[in-house]
Amino acid sequence: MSVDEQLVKVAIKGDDSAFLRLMQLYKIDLYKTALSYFRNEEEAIEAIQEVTYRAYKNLKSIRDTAYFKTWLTRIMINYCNDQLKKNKRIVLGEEILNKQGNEENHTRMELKDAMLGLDDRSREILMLKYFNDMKIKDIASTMKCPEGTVKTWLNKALKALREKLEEKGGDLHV
Amino acid sequence: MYEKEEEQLKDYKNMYENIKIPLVSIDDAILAGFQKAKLEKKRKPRRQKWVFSLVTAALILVGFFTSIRLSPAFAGYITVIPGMEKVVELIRYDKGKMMAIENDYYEKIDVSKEKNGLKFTIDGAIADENGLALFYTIKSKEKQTVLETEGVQLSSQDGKSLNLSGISMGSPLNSEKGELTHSDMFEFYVQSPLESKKFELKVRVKGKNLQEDFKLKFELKKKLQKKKTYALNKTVTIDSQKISFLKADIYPLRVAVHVKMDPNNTKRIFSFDDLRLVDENGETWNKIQNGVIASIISPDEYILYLQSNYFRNPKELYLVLNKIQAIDKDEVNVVVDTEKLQILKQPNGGHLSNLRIVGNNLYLSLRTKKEFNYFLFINIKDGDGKKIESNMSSVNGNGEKGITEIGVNIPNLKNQTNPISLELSNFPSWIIGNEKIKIK
Repeated sequence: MSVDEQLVKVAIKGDDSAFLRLMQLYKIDLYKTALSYFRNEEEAIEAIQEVTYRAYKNLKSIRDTAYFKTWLTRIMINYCNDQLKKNKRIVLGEEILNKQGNEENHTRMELKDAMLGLDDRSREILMLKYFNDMKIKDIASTMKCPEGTVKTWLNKALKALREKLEEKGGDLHV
Repeated sequence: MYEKEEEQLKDYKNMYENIKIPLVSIDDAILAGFQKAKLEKKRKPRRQKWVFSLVTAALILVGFFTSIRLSPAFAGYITVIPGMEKVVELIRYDKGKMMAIENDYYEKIDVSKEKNGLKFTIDGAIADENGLALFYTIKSKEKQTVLETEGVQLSSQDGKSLNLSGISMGSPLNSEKGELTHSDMFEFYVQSPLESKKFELKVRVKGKNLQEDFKLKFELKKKLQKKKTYALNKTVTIDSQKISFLKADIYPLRVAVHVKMDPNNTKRIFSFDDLRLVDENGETWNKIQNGVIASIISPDEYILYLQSNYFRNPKELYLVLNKIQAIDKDEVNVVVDTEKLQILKQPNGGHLSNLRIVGNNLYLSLRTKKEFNYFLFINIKDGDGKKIESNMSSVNGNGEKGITEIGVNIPNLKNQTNPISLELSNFPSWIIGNEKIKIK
């Protein structure tokens, strides 16, 4: 068993300092994930607070301690998805402003716009796989489904992303 | 197949490789989220607090989001001292008490009694001339879904009266799946300086199917720190209302500020919502967040309580305030009919609704835009203008929906003459100013 896994076990048993240490281990990845959704520091910090809260409240629901990070990241992604729905118009509005002011990041911004336009599951899969470098196996385990299904979803997500990007590209060249 | 998209996704990730990471804010956020979860675990589902008060007092229930952010250093400190964690849990919204602990002013007592599988332990205390905060733990051999304390009495072993002004009790344990232990604190405040150091505590512990009476003797050995007193004598005018600040007494457990209102004011002044102490570095101490926030000497004279900065010695210290609850004097009474279950009179805005009677308790719902955890009433009179003695009251906050349930215990409720008139001591209506009063 890895050290992390032991920490997770102790944390589940109610050791608060173990929980806080786990949060320390993953805070930077969590922050980056949040930032990729919001692009504003304040909202990302707010997300960290809420995710810490939700993680602590739901600690006992962890099934497989080996996938703590995936579990935690998914809490963050779910939170971000919910927030996006709440603030949809505002987020897109900011994006447009950012795009105008920052030509060199054009491709990246375009990608972000495309990501934000995807359905929740596709976005989640892409974030886990490419942004958090998670293995198909880990994702399958936390999502409680076979690896084959994750692969199918991943392909669908990439296809949807391509379509969104083409759509955007098209728009811009009109 | 999707190499281009995969490349773009990787590039997207790289965009976040070299960004600035606000570590301090992240750590603060982690602690805040952690505390929120801890606090809720303790208080849910019923955040109700009953206070027994011998002199009229205003009280407040701690909000979900008002806990102080612990410094990471302090959070570390508490995890290394065994047993301290549960104490800190109870006072984490009180900077003064936290500082008392940091300054080694907390006194371990560890006296316990066991009866029929139930063990009551006095863990420790923080005491000063003005009162004491007593931390306790109840342990049960079997899981309990409910544990409450009642009939709390504190007396001096030498038989002299302690001249108590009020007792603030903790929240009862309420857990669906049951718990084996429950920790909380009692706060006792006295009207004349505490002289005795040997005490006896009487308390009744009630669970669903059990009830035990405990009597425990304990002694405080630490020297009680003397209060620091500052004369203020300054009158300020906010929205044409004159308010005089007379003096401030700084005790380890709390700071008491004596204020007096001009009798000619057109508004009744209630709570000083954001009254705070600020030192020369801008460090701030807020009001008491959970428990007694003021003693009401008369409608125009209060003692207000703030979290203590006793263990700091600032060069300069100010009282600062911007927002005061106030209402026109002709609106201070809420009138209800307990037979027809009707609210006959209430201040403008229709904040109160849903009058209910359960046994001898009268409940009202208060609707506000923001969480409002103050208890609302002081004096209660029956239809003949006769005062009804009521010394139990409750606030049950549900901040998320903006509704607070206010409970008032009225003895012999069924036989009281209607309509019943309840005098407000707090209300969601404010006057705004900007005042800074020098303490030192």
